[in-house]
Amino acid sequence: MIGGVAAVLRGAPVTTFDLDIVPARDAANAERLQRALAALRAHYRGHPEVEPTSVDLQRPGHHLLLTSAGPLDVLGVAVGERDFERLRPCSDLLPLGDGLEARVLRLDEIIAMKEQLGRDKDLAALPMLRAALRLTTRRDDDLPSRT
Amino acid sequence: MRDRLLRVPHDSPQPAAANDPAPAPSADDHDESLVRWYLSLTPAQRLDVLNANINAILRARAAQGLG
Repeated sequence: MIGGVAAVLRGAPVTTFDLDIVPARDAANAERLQRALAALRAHYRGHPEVEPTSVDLQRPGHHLLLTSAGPLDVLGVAVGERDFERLRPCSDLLPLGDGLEARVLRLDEIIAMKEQLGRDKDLAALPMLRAALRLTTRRDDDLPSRT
Repeated sequence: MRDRLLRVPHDSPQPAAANDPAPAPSADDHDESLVRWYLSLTPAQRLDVLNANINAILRARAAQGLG
C-alpha cells in the first residue's frame, strides 16, 4: 500500500479518497488479485464494462479502478520505476484490527515519491507528512510492525 | 474498509486560566498537535478517522446537491 492511505496508516492526518497499491506482478499473485478484484466488482473508471484480467495485472501500467469499496489504483510500477520488489524493503506489515495486516510503505519513502511526483496535491500534503515523520522519528517508538 | 464504531482517544486540554500567559499557537503548532494526536491512534483507528472524514465530506456534498 502506498499513497495517501498508507500515509494515514503511518500517522499523517491527511484525507484521501482512493487507495493506491503496488502489487507483486508474478502470475500467481496476479491471479489472486484478479479474484479479489472480481469479488469487489472492480472495473476501469469510466469504462464500467471493462474488468482487469490477471494478464493485465502482470503488466507495469496503471489500472485506475472503481470497486464496490471505493476507488482503487493498482500500479504495476509507481513513480521512479518503483515496483513491488523495490518497494518491499521500504515497507512493513501493520495490524489493521481483526487479525488483518497490510504491507504499508514507510513514511520516508512515501515522502520521496510525492516529492518526485511534484503535483500540487502531492506538494500540499508534504508538510503534514514531514511533521509525522519528524515526530515519529523523535518518539522512536513506532507502531509494532513486522517486515 | 469496514464499518467500525469510532472510538478514538482525544486530547482534552484544560481551558487556560484568565491570567494564563499562554502563547498563541502558530500554524506549525496546530499541525504538530494534530499529528501528535494522530500518532497516538492505532492504524485501525486512523482508518476510522479517515472514513469518518470522507463520509462527512460526502454528506456535505450531497446536502449541497453536489453528490
